[in-house]
Amino acid sequence: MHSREQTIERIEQYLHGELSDTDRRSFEAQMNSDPSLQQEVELHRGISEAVTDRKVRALEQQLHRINKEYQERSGAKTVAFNPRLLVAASILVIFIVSAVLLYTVEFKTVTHQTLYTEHFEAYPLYQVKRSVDDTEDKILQEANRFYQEKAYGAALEQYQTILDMDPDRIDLTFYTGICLLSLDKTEEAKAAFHRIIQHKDNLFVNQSKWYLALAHLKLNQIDASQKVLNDLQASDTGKYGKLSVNLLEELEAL
Amino acid sequence: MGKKHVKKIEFDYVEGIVKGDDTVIKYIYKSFFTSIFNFIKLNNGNKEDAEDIFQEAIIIIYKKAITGNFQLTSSFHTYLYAVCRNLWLKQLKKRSVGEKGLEDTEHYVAITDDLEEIIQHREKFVLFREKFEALGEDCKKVLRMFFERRSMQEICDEMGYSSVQYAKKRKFNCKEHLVEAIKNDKRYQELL
Repeated sequence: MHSREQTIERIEQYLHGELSDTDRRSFEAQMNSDPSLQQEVELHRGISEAVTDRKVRALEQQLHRINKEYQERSGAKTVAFNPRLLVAASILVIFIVSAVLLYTVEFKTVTHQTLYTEHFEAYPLYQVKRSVDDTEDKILQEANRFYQEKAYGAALEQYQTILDMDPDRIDLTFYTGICLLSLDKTEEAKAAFHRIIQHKDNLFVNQSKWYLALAHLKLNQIDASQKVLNDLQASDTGKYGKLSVNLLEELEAL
Repeated sequence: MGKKHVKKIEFDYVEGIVKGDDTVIKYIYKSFFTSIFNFIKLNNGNKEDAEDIFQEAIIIIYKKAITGNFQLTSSFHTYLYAVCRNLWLKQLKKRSVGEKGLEDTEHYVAITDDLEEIIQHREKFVLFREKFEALGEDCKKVLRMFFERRSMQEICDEMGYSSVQYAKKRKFNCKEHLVEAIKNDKRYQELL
């Protein structure tokens, strides 16, 4: 009776091809008649293979690596479908879009303001009528002096005083408009110019339209500004018509 | 600028697997993993299951290919699907998920060759390797040398043993330890 140790040694010799032909054939005959021996032989064969097969082990490692890379890469893609991240991404997009829009608007506003500044000039004082009334005239002189010195607040005050006494002085309405525009009281300035334009029967209509267009521009009311400029371009063949064409072109270029 | 028409190149997937070609194997993952994942998902599995099955299937195909008489009669994808399906069915049976039939997501072509044999062989391989790795470092070293056909004298010298006789004894004991561990695992019983 072979000891376990001897049996194992025999099996190993068989598997390693170390048995003589006779011994091998006799061992195989044994295996055929003894299923448990056959099982044992197969087990030892399997163990040897499991320990020595480098190729399969290399393939396993390769697949493990490639799988890891693949899952990480496709995992990164599916991150986008995480609802929370989708919300965060949406907020970010909205933020970016808003920022861009604001910047665009801001940028255009700055450019509109630049245009305004380039074109606005306080209208010269050559058409101010002297007053018949002495008191009024004194105030007028003072007002004009303030205006010349660009003290538009003080000038405005004085012009208003005269207008309170003499509301028909359209020319002074015009100059108050200029003062108001200079003082950034743009809405009031617009009102003054509108009054002059509606009055029609005066020498300040074209100028008023021009300054009205500038006032709209100052308030970023581009459409309104363009409307007035188009009107002015159509109605005036002189200086203000030309100025309007110029400014319209500049607005178009923005 | 006209559209570039890229001709779809059909890789020799099997050759790529046998050669261990990284590019081919990556392409296999890119092209087919999702479909296998969908199948496994539909049949009570998760992503990890799909990853395991996919890897095992490729190894099975490798083992099949190196036997030399492997001829693909269907497309690689169809064969891969069939192998995965086979492997997954076995897995479900092991988990006793019940005899509920599998739901196919692809066209299933039953494999009539020796696939079953190869799968069983592979399962044994995985089990034996697992038990081997669980041995102590000394035992693993001795057995590795032994299986690589190093002489007892070499092993004796390498391990610093007192004699060849002692080396033989050590080898025997380590191997018995491994054999016992395998025989005691119920997976081995099932594979017999």
